[in-house]
Amino acid sequence: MKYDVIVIGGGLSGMLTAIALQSSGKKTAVISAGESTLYFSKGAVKGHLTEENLATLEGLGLKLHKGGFRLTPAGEFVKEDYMFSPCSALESTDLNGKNVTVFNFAGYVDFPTSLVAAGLEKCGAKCTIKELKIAGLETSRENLTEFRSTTIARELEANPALVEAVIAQISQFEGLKVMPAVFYSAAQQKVIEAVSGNVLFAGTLPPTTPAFELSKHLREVYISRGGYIYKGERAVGSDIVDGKVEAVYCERLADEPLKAETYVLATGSFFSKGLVSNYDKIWEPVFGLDTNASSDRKEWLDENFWADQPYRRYGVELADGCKGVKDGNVIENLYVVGSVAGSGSEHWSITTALNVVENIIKEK
Amino acid sequence: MQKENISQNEFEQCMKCTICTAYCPMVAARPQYPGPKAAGPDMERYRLKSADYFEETLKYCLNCKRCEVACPSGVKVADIIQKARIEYSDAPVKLRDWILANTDFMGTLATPFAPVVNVATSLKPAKAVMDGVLKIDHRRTFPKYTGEKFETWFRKYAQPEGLEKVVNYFHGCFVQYNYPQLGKDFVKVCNALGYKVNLLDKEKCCGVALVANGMAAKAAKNGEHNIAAIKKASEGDVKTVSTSSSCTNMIRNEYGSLLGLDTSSIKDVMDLATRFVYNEIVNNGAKLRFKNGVVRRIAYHTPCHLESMGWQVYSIELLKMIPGVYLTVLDSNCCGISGTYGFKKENYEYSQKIGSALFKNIREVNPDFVACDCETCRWQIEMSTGYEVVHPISVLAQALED
Repeated sequence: MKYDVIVIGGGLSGMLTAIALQSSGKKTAVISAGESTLYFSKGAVKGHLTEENLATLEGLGLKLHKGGFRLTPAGEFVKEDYMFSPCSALESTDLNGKNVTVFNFAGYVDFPTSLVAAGLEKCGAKCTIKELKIAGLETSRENLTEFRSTTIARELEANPALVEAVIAQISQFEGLKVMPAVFYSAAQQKVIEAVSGNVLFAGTLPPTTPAFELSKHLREVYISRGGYIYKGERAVGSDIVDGKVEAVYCERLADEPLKAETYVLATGSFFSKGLVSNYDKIWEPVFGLDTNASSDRKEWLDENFWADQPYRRYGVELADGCKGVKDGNVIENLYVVGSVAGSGSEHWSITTALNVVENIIKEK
Repeated sequence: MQKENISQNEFEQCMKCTICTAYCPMVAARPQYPGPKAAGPDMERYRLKSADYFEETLKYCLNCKRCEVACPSGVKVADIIQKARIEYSDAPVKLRDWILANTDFMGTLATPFAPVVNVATSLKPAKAVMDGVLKIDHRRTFPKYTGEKFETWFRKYAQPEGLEKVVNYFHGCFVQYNYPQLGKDFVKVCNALGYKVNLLDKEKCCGVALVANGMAAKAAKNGEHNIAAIKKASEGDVKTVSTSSSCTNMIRNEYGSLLGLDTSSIKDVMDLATRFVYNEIVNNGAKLRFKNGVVRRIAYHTPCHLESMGWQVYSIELLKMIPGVYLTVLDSNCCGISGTYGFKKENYEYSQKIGSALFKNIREVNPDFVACDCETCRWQIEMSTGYEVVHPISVLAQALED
C-alpha cells in the first residue's frame, strides 16, 4: 500500500495533520491503534491561537468556542482560552449572591454534584442541587455501573423528546443552570436556546462527551475527504535506509509494508504506547527515535505522588521543523506531532500539527 | 519478579476507561447487557477466583470485536468474553441452537430436497412452526439451499489446462450448501490469475457458529481436522484461501485465541480471498483483463470480523481496481445478524435495532448494489434493505473479460 503521507496515530494531532494534508491534495492514510486520549480531554485549549489558526482549524473540523472559566467535576474553576463546545465556560467567577441550580441525571455518578456545588458556593453563589428524572432514560439505567456520559448523550440524541423533558424540568428554575456536559452538540444547542444561554456545561469524569463527539467528527471529516484509517491497527516496526523511512509495518497486516514519501509520528505518550517502558529503559517503539528520557529509572518518578511527575514531560527529541532524530541523526522524511514529543496538552497537539502540515506542504 | 505482562488476552492491560462500552453496539440496543468492559476484564478478575461469578448475560455479546478495535490498550475484550462462555457456561444446548449451529449437517440434510426445503421455509405455516416450536423468528428470511453442492459441481468442472500454480480453497458451508456461485466465481478468478484450484481433504465447518452456540468442543474437533488438512495441503507453501471473512478469522485467529489450538503451522498459509488476489496483482505482477464500459456504483460494507482482522483494505482496494466501479465505503457499523444470533426469536428486534444505522446509510447512498465479504451480513442486508449484496470476488469475476 502506497501513500504520499502516512500518519501514525489517530488522536487530535494525528487527525488534524491527516485532514489538512488530505485536503491539500495528498493521498494519506492514518494508522490508529484503538481510540485516543482525546476521550479524556477536558474539552478545552489553554494557550493562544491566532485568528488564522482558528479559521484553519474550523476548516479541518475543529471549531473552537470562546474560553473563560471552566468548571471541573471537582468544583474548581480553571481559566481556558478556548472550549470544544459553547456555554462551557464562564466569563467571571464572581457569583456573589447569584442563584445557581446544579442539575444531574438520576443515577449518573460521574458528576459529583456536592463537589460542584461547594465550588460554586466558594465563589459566592447560592446553590441548589436538583435531580433530573427523565422517564425514557430508565432502561439505560438498568445497568448502573455503565450509565456513563456517552450513554446519556446517545439516548438524548436518539430521542428528541428526552431533550424536551430536560428543558421542561430545568426551565422551572431561575438563574444560572449548571449541567453535566453529557450532550452532543445538537441537543446541547437546543438546551442553550431554550434557556437563553443561561447555562454552564460542567466537566464530567471521562469519557468526556465533547471530546468523544469531536473524535468521531474528525474521523468523519477525514473519510469524507477521501482519507483511509487503518482502524485498530498498531504500527510495530519500520525500515529506515540511509536516514529515510522506507516503510512502516503493522501488527495485523504482518508482512505488508505501508509506504509513503513522508511519515508523521503522532502516537501519543505512555497511555497510547507512543512511548513504552520496562524496568530498564524508555523508548519509542515504531522507529526507535531518540528521547529525552533519563536513563536512570530513579529519575522517572517523584516519590511525592501529587508532584508533577518527570516522566510526563518525556518525549522524542525534535530537530528543526519537528523532524524525528535517531542515533543523533535527523530522519529527513519523518515528522513528529502531539504528545509523543512531550507535553500532553491540547494546545501542543494543535500547534505541532499545524506547524508540521505547513512544513510538509512547503517541502518539494 | 514478574517483568512482563503474562495475562491471557492482555486483560491486565485494561485501565477501565470504558471506551469499549461506548462503542459496543449491544450496549446501545440492550441495556441489560453489562457491556464489554464489565463482562470482559472486570468480571474476569472475579471469575478467576470463582466460576460462580459467571453470568449468562455474556451470551448477549455478538463477538463483533468492535471493543477490541476501539481499545487503546490492546485488550482482547471479546476473546475474554467468548472464552469465559466456553469455560464457564453450563447452559444446555437448545435444539434450535443445535440446528442453527450445525450448518454442515443441516446443509447435507437439506440439499437433496432443496426445492422443497426452500419453498417450505418461506411459507407462512412453516415459519409459524419454526417460530413457535423452535423460536426461530418468523420475520427472518431463511437462507436458500442449493440443489447441487459446490463440491459436486467442482468435481465435474474441468479447469483450464496448463495452470502451473496451485491454491487450495476453503469454501465453507455457505458456498457448499447455499451459494455455490461464489465458489465458481473464485475458481474463475484464480484460473485467470494462472492458478489451479484444489479442495482440501474433506474440509469441515470452521466452527464459528458452534462456538457462538455453546458447542466449543465440537468446534475444536473440526478445528484440529481443518488445521491438519490445511497443513497437509500446504507443502511447497501452497496457500489455503477462503472467501468467507468469518471462516478466515476463525481459522487464523480464534482457533488459537478461543479454542487453544496450535495454529503456528498454518497461520502464514491461511489467507482471505481478496487479500490473496490483491497480492497477486500488486506484488506478484499478475494481470487481469477486464470488460469495458460497465459502470457500477457499489457501497462496501465492512463485516465486523474483517474489521477485527484489519483486512478490509484489501477488499476495498481490489474493488477500486475494477474499471467502471464507483465505490463508497459505508460507515463501519455492525449489521446486527452476527451469524446465527439474529435468527433467534429473542434477539430479532435487537438485531434489527443494531443494524438500523447501517441500513439507513445504505439507503442514503442508494448504490446499484452492496459489496461485502461475509455471508451472514449478506442475508441481513438483503432482507433488511432490499439491496442486493455481492461478494467482492463475484464483482471481480463478473468484470473479467470472457
